[in-house]
Amino acid sequence: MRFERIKEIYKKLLKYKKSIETLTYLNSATPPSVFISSHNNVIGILAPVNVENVDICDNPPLWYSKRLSIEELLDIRARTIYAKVAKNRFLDILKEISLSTKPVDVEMKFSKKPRFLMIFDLYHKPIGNPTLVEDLNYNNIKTKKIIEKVIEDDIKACDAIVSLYERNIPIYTIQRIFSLGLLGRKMQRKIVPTRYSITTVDSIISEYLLKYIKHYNIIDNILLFENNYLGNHYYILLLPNAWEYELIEIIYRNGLISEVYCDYESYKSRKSYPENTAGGYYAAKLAVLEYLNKRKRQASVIIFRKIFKEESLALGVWKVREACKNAFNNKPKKFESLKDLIEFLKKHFRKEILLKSKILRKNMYQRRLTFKNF
Amino acid sequence: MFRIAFPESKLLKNLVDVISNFVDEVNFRVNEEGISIRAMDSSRVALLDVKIGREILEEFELDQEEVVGIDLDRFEKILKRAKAKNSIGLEKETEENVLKIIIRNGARREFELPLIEVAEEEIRIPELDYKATVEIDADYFLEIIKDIDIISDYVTFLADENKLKIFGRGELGSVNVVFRREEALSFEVSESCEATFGIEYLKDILSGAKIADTVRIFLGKDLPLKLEFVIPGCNLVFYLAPRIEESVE
Repeated sequence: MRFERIKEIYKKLLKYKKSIETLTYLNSATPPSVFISSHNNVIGILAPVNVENVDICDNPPLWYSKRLSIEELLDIRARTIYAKVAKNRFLDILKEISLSTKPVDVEMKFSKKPRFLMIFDLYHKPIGNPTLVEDLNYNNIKTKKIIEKVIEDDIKACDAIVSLYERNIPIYTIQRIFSLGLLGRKMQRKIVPTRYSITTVDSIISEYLLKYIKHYNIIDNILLFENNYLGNHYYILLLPNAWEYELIEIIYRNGLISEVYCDYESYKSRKSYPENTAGGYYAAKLAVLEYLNKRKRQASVIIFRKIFKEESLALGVWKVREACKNAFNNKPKKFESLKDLIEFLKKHFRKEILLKSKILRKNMYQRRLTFKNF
Repeated sequence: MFRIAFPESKLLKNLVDVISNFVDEVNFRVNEEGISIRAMDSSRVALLDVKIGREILEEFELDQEEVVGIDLDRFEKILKRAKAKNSIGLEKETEENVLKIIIRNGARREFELPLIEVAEEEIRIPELDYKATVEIDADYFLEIIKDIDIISDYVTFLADENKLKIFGRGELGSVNVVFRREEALSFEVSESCEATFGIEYLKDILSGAKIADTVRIFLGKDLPLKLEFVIPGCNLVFYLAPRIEESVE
């Protein structure tokens, strides 16, 4: 996003500065929402200044369904307090709060007044207004049996994550519980910074879904799903071949391509971290796998993600997840042949960009063995 | 029921390593001749055909042909527990759906691997009219692929009456390797031919080259590449579909 535009938004948000910087006490609720920094493992709880904003202060599916703009999102987060706690006193309370599937009432006394600022990151949501908790009272925790059971069980974290997922616990809830070190073999449980908990949970669930998907039939047609949100345009291409996946991010600055990043994995899955596309790689992959699993089909998948720098901001991996997940609610374009697809793609991408795709190159230039019993 | 044993784990480990590069699960067919495995990769670009002759096995007992479906990831984890010189036994009872894997190094370590159902399509390999057959040292082959890998994603094989040329070109330069007729272990070329292949698949077969003495390279017009790795008591054949020339539009 252009610096002038950010300044403009910041100026509008300044109206909240005084009321936030004078807070010494807050009687509100948390969705629940916790954040663990990857710099120093500091843990905190997020709560809106006005209790009527509890539902919306940390809720990517709702943000997407309302198609909130960057300005609206920052307005919400600018009125949300990040109340850091001392682990020795409050960690157990935070663990308990994080288990809730409904908002939890919180009453906090701060030892320091909040600072009116916001932290941005590619992985997590903007975090605003940090402060320190001196005293914390809470009330109204409602959780689900399956969550209680899984945290009691002495099972591997990956099995715990999968069993929560199988019982329709939202991915954001699983991430939160996992990050507080509530899942896994009891001796091995530990706090995981929010940033890593997001990718870990995405990647574990993806591996689980892939085991099924690799046994499904291959889709019949070439399909293209598109979506556009928060300065990013996604083209999700499903090709009728065995599973493989590639994410290609094309960054535009002032209408010109400035960088291109790609990561690819074959049918065998990747063992190394996708350095080029990072957290978005896993979130987009999971969105696609969920769609394939629902349709009981297998496909070879290429995602082209156009990022328009002037309209985009580091808001967290959730924006990729929600945009990709919801792309599948849009009607896909069908292509009769690879040739038709390439003709279409050429209208939206330069040839050099298309040739960056390993999967596309393979489809265009790699022959297949024809000897079998047909 | 069968009871077989490899005198050393190395051969089986390397073969399983190669196969697992192409598929996640596979059927091992055990019959009077030995063990045979056929695996085509998910994108149908490469095919592996492996036969292990019973003569190299230390023990071979079989009452009827058995087909056992194996999750290669789990199988490999167990095999990794054996040192190269340890012997490895594979045993299955007729009614049971598990494979016993026995590692012997003084003590007898027995693992049980649950078998799985692996859908199998019968793949028939037709007679292919190859125009060139060149045999070279398997170690050379391994080095050539590694050389080209630093430069290019593709490997081109070119054979004419005098030589076999293997080369790659990329943005960073090029690599050329030439075997003249007299340098090859055997050399038969009836017609010049040239074809290009994806290096990722050739890299996946290199564990096979490590245990082979020599490799026979078969080329033909518009035909898949055929590599026959010559391993004592074992037949490892690899087919790879060619690439189409990338046209610059």
